[in-house]
Formats: sequence, structure tokens, C-alpha cells
Amino acid sequence: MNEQERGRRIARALNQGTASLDDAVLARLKVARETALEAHHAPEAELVLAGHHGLRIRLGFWHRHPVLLPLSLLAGLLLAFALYWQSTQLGDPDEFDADILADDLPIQAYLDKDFDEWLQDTRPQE
Amino acid sequence: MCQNDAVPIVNRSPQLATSSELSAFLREVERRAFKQAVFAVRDNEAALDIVQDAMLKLSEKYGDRPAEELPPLFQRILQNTIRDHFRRQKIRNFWTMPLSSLFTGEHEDDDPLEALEVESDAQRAHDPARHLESMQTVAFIEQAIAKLPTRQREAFLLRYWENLDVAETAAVMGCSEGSVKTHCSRAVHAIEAALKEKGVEL
Repeated sequence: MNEQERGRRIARALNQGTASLDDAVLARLKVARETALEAHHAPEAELVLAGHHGLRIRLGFWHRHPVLLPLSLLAGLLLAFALYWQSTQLGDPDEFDADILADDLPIQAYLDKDFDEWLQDTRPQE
Repeated sequence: MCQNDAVPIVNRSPQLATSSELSAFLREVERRAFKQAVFAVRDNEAALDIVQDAMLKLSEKYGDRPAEELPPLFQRILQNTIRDHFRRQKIRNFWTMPLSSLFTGEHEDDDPLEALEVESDAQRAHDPARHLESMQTVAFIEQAIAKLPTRQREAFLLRYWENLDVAETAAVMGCSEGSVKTHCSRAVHAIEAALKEKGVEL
């Protein structure tokens, strides 16, 4: 029997020693294992663009916090809608001035209090 | 389809160790890791702390490595954690030894192997004489291993108990492959000589 085989034979005998560990030690080892597993983060999902082998976008953060992804999308949609609505309400001031000069006054002008004040201020003095 | 057509697909990276793979690995290695630590530090509580630290470090820092890389990584972490224990102990002893020696006598040398010779009732009932002989042999081997020089013990356990190959053992120990072979050879001869003194033949 060569040296390696003798070494492995001695090591096999050691396994008998591990089979007779007492319950307190085994319980502590189990706790240690479970603690370690709690700290283990699951493999991260990746967004892979086929045809571009070098391009991989890790989605680990979103994978670990699955609730944040739909919430972020919802917040983005609300923000986009708010910006769009604001832009439609204001209108273009240059276009507004051009309408006044062309005597084609939009109905909003009569509802604007600032417009009345402007008319009074710009009325020629008698 | 043209190769440049980019089709997004979501998948899991295949090389990463899953939680179940890590769990299976830790379950398989935990008892040997504990015994390795006991051989080194000769204290059950300290050995348990070392194993827990090593498991946690593996999980936190290397949990995303391929499953096949876990054994050598864990062994490296375990050896480093054992060395850290000795460093901390050295510093602690530097400050506490002079004070404690004023109040207590010499430190008793506990034999950690005594705690490991616990037999279950089922095993004892099966064949008590044979089991006792077997456990005595194991105890002799464990004592012989505990008495080995640190590097020889590390090389022997990594190579023959953990079944790492020479290159992996060398990487874990941070030495050459030739040194691993030398340490292993000396360890085998030393253990055999110790067993022969006790009249044990494997």
C-alpha cells in the first residue's frame, strides 16, 4: 500500500469520529449553517441581450426587492402624466401673443384676470 | 434571425451556487470542519465559533461563486479563521496572563478529544467491544493528528480528509506543491509511528 492510500485510510477512520459528535455540538453546527444561509443572497437574475454576449445587465437589486419594481414603474407613470397635463394647461406664450395680435382671441383670455389688468394698464389715457 | 437582433431574455446565471447547493455543501463539511478546528485550537467552544465565522464569511463573500469552487474556498477561509483565532488569543494572553497568574494556579490542559468519545446507546448495544476498540483507534489517530506540527496537520487533513488535490491544497496553504507532498508524507509517517506505539495497526 503506497503512502497516499495509507493516508486516505487514516482519514477514513477519522470519519468515525465525526459520526459520534454530541448533540450540543451538532445543534450549534446547525445554527451556524442556518445563520450562514440567511446571509447568502440568491444568484442574481441577469438581463441578457442575445447577440451581444458582452452585454449583461444585473437585476440583482430588483430581484432582491421585488415590490420596488412595480412601485417604481407606477411612480414613473404618474410623474410622466403630471408633466404632460401641466404642459397642456399652460400653452405656448408666443402662440398666445400671436393670437392677440391677429385679433383672434381665445376664450381663455377672457377668463384670465391678469388679462383684464393688462387691458386696463395698456388702455390709452383720456 | 440576424445575429444583431437583440432579444432581451431574463435568466439565472448558470455558474452561481444556489442556496440549496451551499446548504448541502455546508451540511457535508460542517463536522469535519469542526474537528479540524478542534485539532488546531483544542477547545470545542472556540472551534464552534471558528466554524460559524468561516461559514458566514463563505456565504457573505463567496456565496455567488460556482459550487465546485466552494470546497477550496471554504478550507482557505477556515484556515485563515483559525490563524485569526491564534492572533487574537496571543494578544488577549499578553494582557490577561500576568493578572490571572496572580490569582490562579497553572492552567489545566483539557483534552478536547475526551468530549468526542461519546457513544450512542444504539451503537453501544450493537457490538460494544468492537465499537470501543474502533473508537479507541479513532481517538489515537485524533491525538496523533493533534500533535502534528501545524503545517503537516493542515496538509494531511486537506489532502486526505477533504480530498483536495495537491494543487488545491498548495493554493489553500499558500505554499508549493512540493511542500504539500513533503508535509503529507511526514504526517502519514508520524501518525503511523504514533499508532504503532499504541499497538494499533490499520
